[in-house]
Amino acid sequence: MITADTGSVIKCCDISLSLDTHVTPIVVLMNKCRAILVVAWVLCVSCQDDESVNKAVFTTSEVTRTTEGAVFQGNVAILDDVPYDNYGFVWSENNEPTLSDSVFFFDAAPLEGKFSTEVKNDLEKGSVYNVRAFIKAKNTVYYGNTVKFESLGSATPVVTGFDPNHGGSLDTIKISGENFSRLVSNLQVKIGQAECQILSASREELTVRLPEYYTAGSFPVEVTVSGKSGISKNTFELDGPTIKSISPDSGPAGTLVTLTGVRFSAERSRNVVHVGEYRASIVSASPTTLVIEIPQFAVVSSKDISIEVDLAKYVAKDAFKLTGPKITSVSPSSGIQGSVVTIKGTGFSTVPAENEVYLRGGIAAEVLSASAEELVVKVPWATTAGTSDCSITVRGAFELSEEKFTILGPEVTRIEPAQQYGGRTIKLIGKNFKADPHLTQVYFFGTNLVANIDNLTDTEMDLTIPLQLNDNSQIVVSVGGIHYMTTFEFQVLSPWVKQADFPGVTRYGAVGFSIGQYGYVGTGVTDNGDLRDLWRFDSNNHTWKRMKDYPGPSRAFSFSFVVDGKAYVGGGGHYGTSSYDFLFNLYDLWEYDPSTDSWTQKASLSPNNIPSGTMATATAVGRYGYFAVNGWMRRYNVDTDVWDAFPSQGTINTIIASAQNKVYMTTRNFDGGLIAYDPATSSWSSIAGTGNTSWSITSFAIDDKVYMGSGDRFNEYDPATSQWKSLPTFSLMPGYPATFTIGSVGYCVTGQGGGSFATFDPHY
Amino acid sequence: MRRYTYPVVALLFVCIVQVHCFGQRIVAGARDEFSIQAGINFPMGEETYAGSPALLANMKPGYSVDLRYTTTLLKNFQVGAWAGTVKFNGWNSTLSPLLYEGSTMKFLSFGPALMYKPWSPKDVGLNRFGFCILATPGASIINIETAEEASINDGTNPETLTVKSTRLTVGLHAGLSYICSSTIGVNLLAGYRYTQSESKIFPDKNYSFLNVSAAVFYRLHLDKRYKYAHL
Repeated sequence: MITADTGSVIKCCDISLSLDTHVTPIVVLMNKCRAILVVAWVLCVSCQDDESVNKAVFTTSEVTRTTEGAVFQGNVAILDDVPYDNYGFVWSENNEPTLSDSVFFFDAAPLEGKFSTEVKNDLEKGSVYNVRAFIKAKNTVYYGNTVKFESLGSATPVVTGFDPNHGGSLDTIKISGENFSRLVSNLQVKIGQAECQILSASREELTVRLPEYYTAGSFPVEVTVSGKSGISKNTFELDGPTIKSISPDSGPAGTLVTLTGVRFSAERSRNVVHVGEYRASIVSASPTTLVIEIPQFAVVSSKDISIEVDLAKYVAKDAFKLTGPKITSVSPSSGIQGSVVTIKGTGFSTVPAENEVYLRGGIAAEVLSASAEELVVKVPWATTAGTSDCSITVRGAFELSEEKFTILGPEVTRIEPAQQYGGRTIKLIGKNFKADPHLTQVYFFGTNLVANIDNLTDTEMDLTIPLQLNDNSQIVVSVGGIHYMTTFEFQVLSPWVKQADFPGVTRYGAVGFSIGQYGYVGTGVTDNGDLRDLWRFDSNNHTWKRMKDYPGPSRAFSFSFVVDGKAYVGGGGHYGTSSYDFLFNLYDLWEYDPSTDSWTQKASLSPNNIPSGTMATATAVGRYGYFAVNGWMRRYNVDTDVWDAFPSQGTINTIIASAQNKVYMTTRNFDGGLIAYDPATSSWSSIAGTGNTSWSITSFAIDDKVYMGSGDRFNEYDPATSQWKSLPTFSLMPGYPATFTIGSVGYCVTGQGGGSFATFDPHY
Repeated sequence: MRRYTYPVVALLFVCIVQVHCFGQRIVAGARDEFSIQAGINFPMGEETYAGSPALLANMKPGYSVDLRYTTTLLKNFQVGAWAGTVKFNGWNSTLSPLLYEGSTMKFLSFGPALMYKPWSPKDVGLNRFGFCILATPGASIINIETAEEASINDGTNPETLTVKSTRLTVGLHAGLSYICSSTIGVNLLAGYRYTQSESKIFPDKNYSFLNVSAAVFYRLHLDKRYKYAHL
């Protein structure tokens, strides 16, 4: 059995082996395929997931325009997990409109997909707008891209109703309709002339407040949105007073007029009545009747009468005709001040004082005579020339005439001569002058200088140019308060001519003398100390050259005189601790020889009896030099080199010049007078002055005449005739200058106040 | 010439012995393979769709990494699973240069793998060279990040937009393999991957790209086969 079955067993084994080799791969294959299918199924299921985003994706699409608005479109591509509660569009002329601009809400949560709406408000024709879609969550608004478009216009707003239908000051009204705006700035609501304040706004409803002041009456409600207006069919009653009749409806100022109407106040003070622009006084008042008095000073014409009660106002247009004077002609139509004019018309008062006539400005014309139809008046003293409407007020009734009157003012057409020296005469030729010197004044513009009028007619006047006029200036003529200024400048001439600046350091208290064609300037003081340098001026070619310095100590306010072609310089003082501390403390004397440009010391002054604290000056007569200081005079003999003492002369101040062999000195009285010393007779004499003088005097001796003065006064004294003469001044004249004379010309060099270098030629 | 005599004789001997001698040799086949594959991917498709620039087609080539495990199901046919990721960026379009500028696009994909090796193993080259065809269906988790502002939210929500979706994908590759040792081999593959792209945001009809990659595979559970020769 076993043997017999052996082969079977083995066969079976073969079979089992065969089964193993065929079944096992199939099972494995099935298992693996099943696994693959499971994986594939899982994948397919998982692929059902939709897109998810971390923020919503939405866009603003293109805008379709119509003449009554525009269609806005948008698209929500996908939403995120945020709970959005609203969406819509915003638009404005700004680049990035927001909810504060014009807006349309869908009032629903946004859904994925396209959305659009047609808006008919807040679009002005021709304006370029930007629109953006938006979606809104509770606290956040997200805007889409901006789309720009030019509007073709929007729909006209329609007012369908309002509530209440009447009201008063500051009452609130609800207005319903269509195509309103949510944007208050795009809205305007008016009831009659009353512009309402907009409290809230939507596209269908507005809440507005009446103004505090308004004009009463029944008016439609007018709503304006982006330039388009719609009005209600029904009218809104603005509560307030109403005038129904006026009696009488014409009359002059002061007429009592009865106003009949409704809603007046029985309290007079609560009724404010105006006739035209003037408030009328109320004689009596009841809720239906007011008696008023027509106010004065109103222009004669038809007047509105307005009444205001508790801020509500009513206006009756052209309700009262105000009567009064009427001007029909004015003759002549022009004239100068003080001339006589005849005015014709009606309604004048026969009492001259009751006719108040104005021809120009606020000055009433004097009424010389009056009748009901004619007035004779005198042209007033107006301040300006020109043409004005004539007006007249008679007992409060005012008439502004169309008749005009021209007040003529002075006018200068010519000046002869066109240029002149100070102190001499010119002639002004023109018109509308007044031959009354009390009404006429002439002065020079930019100065306080008034010309003296020598002769005056209605067309000409002769003037004397002030000596102090140094600069060219326009001439102002004033006649009776009307001013006229020449359109050109008057050319003033002067004997003073400014020269090129002195090349040395600007100084004052310098010594000056001349020898031949040369002038010399040396020593002096500045704020930095006193000086020793010497400069020579060549009058032929107007050049300066520095010469040998003064050999003595530097100094200021020294004296000098010239004898026999040589100069003698000495005295003076050192610069002290202050500008005015000029002590006379130097007594040396030096001789300058211009031929060798050398200095030689001479005999010094004796300090005995010479007071200090003042300035010293000198001049020469013959072969003597004369030195004076504060009441003392000394004489120096150039031949013997000896100083002589003179008796004290208490009134001597400083020597200014020598002329006609006399020494001329100023007095310590500063009265402009002189003291003369005649060496030939050793006599003293006094010369009366012409006015005050100061320490600083510019003086020359030219052609045996003495010239002296300062910036505001300059005089000539002629010893031959003992006459004084005023000459033009030099406004730039420095203080304490160095002076010298060459030929017939005086030279004034450096000094305080800038140190102008100028020449003075008295032969002009 | 003498010096080549013994090697030539030896080589002939070996050949004669192998072919004509009665004997055996081992043909090493792997039952399981695990491979790591790196490749470069070239986006395909239209640059614009309905007037809007495409997302993927305008990206620069992206790099990918894949893992794959396969086991022998039938002779020359293996099944298994794969997972891989590929990333694209460098979006640029002349149509609308700013629309998706700075966008990145990542695919994380997985699914079953089906591999057919018609030549493997063969006698050629001592069984080292082979040819394979690989199909990799599955799902792709697509993650797109874009900072576009021109058409989305207009900058009022400047947060980068992140879009996630899962879509079916399928890839088909063909390549050569070389077995370096009994356990290590390399593949050179070229193929094409197609991924569905239905989107509410992006216009692309599909996401497809060409892939060229190289893989290193590790052979597990080697099959030992015996082949007999005639004397």
